[in-house]
Amino acid sequence: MLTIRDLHFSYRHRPVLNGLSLGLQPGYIYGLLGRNGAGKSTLLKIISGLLFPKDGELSYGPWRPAQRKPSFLQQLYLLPEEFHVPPIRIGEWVKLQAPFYPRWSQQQFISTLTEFDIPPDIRLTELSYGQQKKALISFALSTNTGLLLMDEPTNALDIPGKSQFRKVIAGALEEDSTILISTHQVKDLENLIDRILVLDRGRILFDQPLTTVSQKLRFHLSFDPAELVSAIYGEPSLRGNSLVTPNDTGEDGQPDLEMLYKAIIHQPERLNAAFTN
Amino acid sequence: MNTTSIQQPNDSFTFRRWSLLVSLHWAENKRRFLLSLLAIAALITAFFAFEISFTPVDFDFGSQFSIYYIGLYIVGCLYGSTVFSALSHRRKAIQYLTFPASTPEKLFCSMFFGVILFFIAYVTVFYIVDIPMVALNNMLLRRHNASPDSYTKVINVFSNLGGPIPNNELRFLTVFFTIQSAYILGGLYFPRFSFITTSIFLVFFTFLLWLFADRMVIAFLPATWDGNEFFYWHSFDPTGNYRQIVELPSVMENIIRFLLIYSWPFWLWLVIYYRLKEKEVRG
Repeated sequence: MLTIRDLHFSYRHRPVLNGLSLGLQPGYIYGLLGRNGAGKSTLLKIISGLLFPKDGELSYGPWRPAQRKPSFLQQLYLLPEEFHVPPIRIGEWVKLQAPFYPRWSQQQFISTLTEFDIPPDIRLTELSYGQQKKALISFALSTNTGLLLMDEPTNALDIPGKSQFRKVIAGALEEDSTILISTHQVKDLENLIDRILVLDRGRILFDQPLTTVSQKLRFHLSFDPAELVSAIYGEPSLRGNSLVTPNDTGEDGQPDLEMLYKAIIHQPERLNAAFTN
Repeated sequence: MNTTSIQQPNDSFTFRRWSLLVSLHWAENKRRFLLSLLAIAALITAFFAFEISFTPVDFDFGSQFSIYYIGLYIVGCLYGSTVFSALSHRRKAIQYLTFPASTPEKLFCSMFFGVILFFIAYVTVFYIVDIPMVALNNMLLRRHNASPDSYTKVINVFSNLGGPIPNNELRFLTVFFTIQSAYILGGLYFPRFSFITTSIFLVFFTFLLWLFADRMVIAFLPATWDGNEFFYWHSFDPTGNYRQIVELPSVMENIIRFLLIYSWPFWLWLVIYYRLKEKEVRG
């Protein structure tokens, strides 16, 4: 389990994380959302040991990421938003890197590459940027590390690639592993994540399982102006007002992540009140 | 494909992990290494050709010595400043630092390529060019009916033959490893224009060191101190005989001498190790 307590981090004099606390359990896919500059990538770097927190506690099992011990790094894979690939063939690259990951699955790698329609014996530098990303996602998933961090993984993926991504991620989760996906492409996480985390002003503003969101909130369209006034969050659309309201129906609905995110950012108190009631 | 994974709990250093890291580094960079060696061979050939075409009679141990060391210093320091260039690029740095190997393994891998393999490759390339060039030079001398005494031989780069300072115990070589290590460290401290920035820093540091040793320290030493003698102090009476002599024990002198000559690269590598451990990827 990843445990973060009262984490503080600044770039020179600009505070980015301000007393952030968080716990990530194995067996779940977490979606990390936040505005540009909210500190999502910084948080991923701190969890990976690439940045050292100014204050606070951070541990993953027996490890402290900042020590960058090989036994910890074998349990972690970070897929950054921007990446570098060497000018070698995929097969050779995998042959050289895979031995560093104890739970590597060659079969999984080949099947994921096939799913993404990437030729297995081509130079990485001969692939397009989107294809390189697909190859890296395939590699990341096949390492089967306990903690898989992905920073904007769907950037540069084409439309079929995004649905392939959702499919391979959903099929890859093991009960002892955690996947944390940081993105601002909210739609790409629909039907994929188990829990939503929203980072704002250096703290976790919202942290709930989507099952609870379905129970507590209702996402629907309405032409009734009175409903717009009483809603937690609403905005006009061509099909009527898109609303987020407390779920009084007793039936679980399908969360609209984009609307949920907007409600969290614009009406955090009203939204959290819906969860405490 | 069968891959045997590394599951050793050792977080400090395992030879297997290190050797896999070396294989990975080689696979990713071999093209660049081989092209660099070709470029070095071309440069040395050009220098030799220039030297031979103008003054074949003067092409001797001194010429070979100069070309060998000028090339070694320039290319070695340039290459040294790029040993950790991956850490100057965010994309590569993330991959490098999150790769499941320990800091000593990453350090020794970089040192293996940047210091040991570079030196072996440079010496090999030098001889690959030097041997035929010496033969060519002697052939030209024979054609011009020069005296056989003027024929030259292939230099032994591990001797001081041809060097400008007699009996200097390969000082040029030991100093090279120190300076190259400083450039490697500079590559970690100065992410942009590291070669130029390190050069400026070294010149400034040398000037400060000279100022300290030649102007400040000397002021606190006895009046008759001979600045060239590091390990003992003496004074003479008017007839030229020793009046006083203060000398360090020879064991201590040998230890200090050894440390001053050979230990600098190791101290610098130690700093590199800690710098690597504390390296972050910001921005």
